[in-house]
Amino acid sequence: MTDQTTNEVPTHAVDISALGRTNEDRQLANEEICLEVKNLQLYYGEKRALHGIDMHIPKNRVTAFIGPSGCGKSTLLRCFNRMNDLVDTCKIEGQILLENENIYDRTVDVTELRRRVGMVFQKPNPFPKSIYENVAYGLRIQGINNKRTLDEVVEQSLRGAALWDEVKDRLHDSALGMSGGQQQRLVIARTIAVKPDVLLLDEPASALDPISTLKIEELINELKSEYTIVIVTHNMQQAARVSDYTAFMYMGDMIEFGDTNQIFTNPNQKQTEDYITGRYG
Amino acid sequence: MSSVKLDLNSPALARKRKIRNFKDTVATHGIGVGGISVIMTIMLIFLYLLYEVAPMLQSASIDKTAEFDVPGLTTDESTRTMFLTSEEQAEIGMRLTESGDVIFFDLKEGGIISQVPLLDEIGSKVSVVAEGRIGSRTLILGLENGQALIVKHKYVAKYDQDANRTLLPEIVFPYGEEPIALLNEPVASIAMNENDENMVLVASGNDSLAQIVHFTKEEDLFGDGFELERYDAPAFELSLKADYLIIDAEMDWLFAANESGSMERFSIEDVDVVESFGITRIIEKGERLTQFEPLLGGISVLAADSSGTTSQWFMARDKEGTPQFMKVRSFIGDDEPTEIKLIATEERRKGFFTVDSSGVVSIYNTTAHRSVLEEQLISNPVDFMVVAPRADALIIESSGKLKVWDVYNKHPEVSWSSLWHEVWYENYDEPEYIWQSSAATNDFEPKMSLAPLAFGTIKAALYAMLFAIPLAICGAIYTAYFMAPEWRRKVKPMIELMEALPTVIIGFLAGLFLAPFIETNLSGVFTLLLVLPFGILLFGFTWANLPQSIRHKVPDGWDAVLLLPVLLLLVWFGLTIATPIEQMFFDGDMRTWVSRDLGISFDQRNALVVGIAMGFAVIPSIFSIAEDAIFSVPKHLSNGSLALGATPWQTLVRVVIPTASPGIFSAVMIGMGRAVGETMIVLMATGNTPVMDWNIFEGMRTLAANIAVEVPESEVHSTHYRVLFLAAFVLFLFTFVVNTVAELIRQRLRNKYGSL
Repeated sequence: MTDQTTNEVPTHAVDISALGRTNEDRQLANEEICLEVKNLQLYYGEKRALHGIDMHIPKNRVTAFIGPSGCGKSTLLRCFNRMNDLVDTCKIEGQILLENENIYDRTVDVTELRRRVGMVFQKPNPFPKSIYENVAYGLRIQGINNKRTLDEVVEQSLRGAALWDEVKDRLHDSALGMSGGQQQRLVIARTIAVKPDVLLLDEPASALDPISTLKIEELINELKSEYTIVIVTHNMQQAARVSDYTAFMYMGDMIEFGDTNQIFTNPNQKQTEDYITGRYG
Repeated sequence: MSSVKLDLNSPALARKRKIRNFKDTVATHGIGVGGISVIMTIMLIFLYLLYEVAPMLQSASIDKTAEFDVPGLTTDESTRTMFLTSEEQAEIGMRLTESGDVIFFDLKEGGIISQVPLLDEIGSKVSVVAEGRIGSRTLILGLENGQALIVKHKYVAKYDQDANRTLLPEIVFPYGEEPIALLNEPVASIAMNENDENMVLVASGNDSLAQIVHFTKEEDLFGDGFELERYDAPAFELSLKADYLIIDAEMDWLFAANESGSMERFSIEDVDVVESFGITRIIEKGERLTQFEPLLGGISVLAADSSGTTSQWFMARDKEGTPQFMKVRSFIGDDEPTEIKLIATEERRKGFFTVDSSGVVSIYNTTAHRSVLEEQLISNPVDFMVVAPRADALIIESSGKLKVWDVYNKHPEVSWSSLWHEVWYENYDEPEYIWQSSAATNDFEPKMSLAPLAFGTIKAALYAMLFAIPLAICGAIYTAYFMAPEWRRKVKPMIELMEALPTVIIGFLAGLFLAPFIETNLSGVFTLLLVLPFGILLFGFTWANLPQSIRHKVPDGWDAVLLLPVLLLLVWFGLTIATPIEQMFFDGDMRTWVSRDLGISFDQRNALVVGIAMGFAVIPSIFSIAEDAIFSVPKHLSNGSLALGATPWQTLVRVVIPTASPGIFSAVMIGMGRAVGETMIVLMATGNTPVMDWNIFEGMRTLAANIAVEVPESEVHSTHYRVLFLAAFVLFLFTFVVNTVAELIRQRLRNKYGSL
C-alpha cells in the first residue's frame, strides 16, 4: 500500500557545508589523547550494556556520542567520571586511562576524579541556593572559603559560561528563579569553576528551547580551547554543528568513530549511514 | 478503509458530559464542605473551651432584693444590734440586741419568726460579741458583769404533709447555759477559738489585764455530748489596751491590737506561760485601725484602717527562719477611698467585703489579690454588715433599716496574677508557684497557678525531644540516604508500626519497669549514655579504615547489620563496668550519691524516664516524616553535587539536608506537638508532682495529665472545674501557636528550597 518511491536514501542527511564547517578532515593520529578506553565492558546485573569499547578521546576537542536510545552512549559517558559507581548493580571490566592513569585503579580518589572530569546532566540541576553559592559550591567543598578567591572564580566562571552579564546584578538571588537555559549555563559555570580537564555533557540541551540550545552550542565552541569536551546528543545536527569527532554507538558497541565531517559525509559503516540518514533511531 | 464514525456531540455523550460535570461540581462542594466542617469543629472546640472559661472573667454583680425596718428595734437603746448574721440559705436573719435578745426574722419581709431572751435570768447586758471559728455559728457574748456566754444558732428543717419546708431557728449552748465568769469589770474585748478537743477563750476589760481560760472537751462514754473541764490560767499583762483580740486557728498565737494600729503578739501554746513576742505596727502612721478580723481558716488576719486600706497578715518565717507576723498584701479601693467602716468575711472562700464611710461596698479575694466589685450601695452610715454563708447575699443595717442584696460572685479566686504569677499563700514563707487544687479541709486556700503545669509540659516535651530528635533524624538520614533499598523497605514500616503502640502501654512499661530499673541501675544508665555513642563511633571509624578486601565482603548499605552485635556487646560492657565505677567513684550507690553529695533530689518517676518513654513514642512520627523528606530530595541534586567532586557526606550536609529541611522541621514540630499533648505516658511515668525545676531526676505534672487526673473529681462549674478548662484552653493555644509558627517557618524554608 505504501509508496516505495519516497523511500530513496538521500546522500547527505546533514549538509555539512551549510553548517559552516571547513571541509578539511582531522586525523585522530595527529591529536593529543586525553582519554583512552581499553576493552571496556559494563554490566547492569546480568545484562551486558557495553561490549568491549576501545577508543581515544582527543584533548581540547569536542567529541560527540550519537546513536539511538539505549545504545549505551550515556552509560559510556558516565564511566568517565565513575558516576556508574552509584548504581548498585553496575560492574565494570576493562580500563579507562585519563592522562595515562587508569581511573578504575584502586588508588584513585573518586572525588578528585570527579573534580577533574566534570559533568553536566540533561536536566538543569542547580542547587536550591543562590547563584553565587551554586558556582562557589565546588570550591567550598574543596575547602576554599576565601571570599576574594571565591568572588574572582565565580565571576570568571560565569563569564566563561557566558552568563555574567545576565546575572551579575542578582548573584545572591535563588538559582531556581532562572530560566532553564540560564540554569544549564549556570551548571556549566559551576562545573568549570573547579578547573576540570574534561567536561562531560549528557544531552545538555535536550530540555531547552531552540534559542537556549543555540547559546549552549556557542558556549561549547568557546570552551573547547580549554577543555576536552565529550557530549552525548540525540540531535545529529547538533553533533554535526559542535563536534570535531563523532562516535556512533549501537546496541552497546562502538560502530564507528572518526572525524565529524567524515562520519556525516562519508561513513565507513553501513549502520552509521543508515542512522544519520534517518533509517532508524 | 472504513473509519469509525465518532460523533462527539451525540445526545448520549452530551448526557455523559453533563453527569461528569455534575460529579465534578458535587466533588468540589463536598470537599469544600468537608474542609469547612473541620475548621468549624476546631472553632467549636475553641468556643466551647472559652464558654466554660468565660464566667471566671466576669466581675461580680449585686442586686437589691429587700429593705425593711430593723425587726425589734425600738427607741430603747438596749434593742440596738450587737450582732447580725444569717442562716445558710439567707432566708432567716438573726439579730442579737444589747439586752441579750436573739431575734430571728424573715429576710424577705422582715417579719419576726421567734425571739429568745438570753440574759433575762442573768440580768446583765451584752458589752461585746465575737464569733468563734468562722462558719461554726458560735458566738461568744462578753457581758457587762464580766461574764461570757457562748451560744450557737441552729436551724432545723421541718416538712409538712405537702412537703413544704419550714426552717425552725433555735439557740443552743455548747458550753452550758451557765455564764463563764471572767473579769470583775465589763468585758471590753473577747476572742475564742476551738477545735475538737480544746477551746481557748481570752477576754480583757478596760485595764490592760487579760484573762485566759482553757477548756478541755472530753466526749462522754455514751457519745451524746461532751464533758468540759475548765482551767483558768493566770491572768497576764498586755502592753496596750486591746480593742481587738484574735486567736489563731492552731490556738498558738493571740493577736491583740488597739485603735492606733499597734499589735502585740502572744504565744498561748501553753496557757500557763503566756509570752509576749513584741509589738508590730500594722497600719501606716497617722491612721487609725478600724477593723481587725480573722480570715477563713484562722491563719490570716485582716487589718483595715482609716485611709481605706485593708491589709492581710499572717505568720511566716523570715530569712533567718524566725516566725514573724508579716504583711502579705493590701487592698485599696480604686476611687477616693475613705475610712473602712466594717469588714465581713466569707465563710467558704478567702474573700471579704468592706464598706467604707461613704457607703461604697467592695468585694475582694485575697489569693487572687483582686477586687471583684466596688459599688456605692448606701448613703447613710452603716451600722452592721454581714455576708450570708454561701456568699450569695449581703445584709446591711443602716439608720434603722435592713437592706438585703443578692450577690453573684462565682469565681473570685481567679485572676491573671493567681494563675501566672508567684502568689504568697497562707502557711508559706514567700511567694511561690503552686498547683494544689484540693485538700482535706474546706477552709484551705486553693492554689491554682498554671505556671508549674505549663512548665511541666514544656519540661516533659523538651526532655522527650532531647532523646528523640537525634535518634529519629539520624535514623532517618541513614535509612533514606545510606541504607540498602531492600533493608529500607523493611525498616521504615517497622519503625512506623511503633507509632501504633498504645501510649498507655508505653506509660505502663515506663512507670512500672523502666523507672525502677533506672533507679536501681542509675550508674549503668549513665555509663551506657557514654559508652554507646563513643563505642558506635569508634566501631564506625575502625570499620571505615579496614582494608577494602574485608569491607567489600559486606554489600553496600548492609553495614548497619554489623552494628547489632556491637550494640549488644556495648550494652553488656556498659552494664558490667557500671558496678566497679559505682564502687570507685560513687561510694557504691550513685542514687544516694546524687541526692547526698550533689544535693539533687531524686524521684523514681522523673524527667529521665519520661524523656526516654515519650521520646520513644514520638520517634516514629519524627522519623517517618523526616525520612520521607530526605528520601524525596531529587536524585539529580545529589548526583550534581557528587559529580562536582563532593563526598557523600558533603553532599548530605550541604545539599540533601538543606533541601529536606522544611520536611525535617515539620517532623520535629509534629513530634513536639505530640509530646506537648501526650497524656498517658506522663500520667504514668512522671509522678505528677507539680514542681518547677529543670532537674532531670525530678518529675513534673503536665497540663494534659493534670486535666486527666482532676476533671473527674472536680465539681461541675466550680472554679476548679473552670480552671481545668482554662488549662485545656492554654494547651490548645500552646499547640496552636507552636503549629502556626512551625507552618510559617516551613513556608519560608519551602520558598527558599522548594520548586525543584
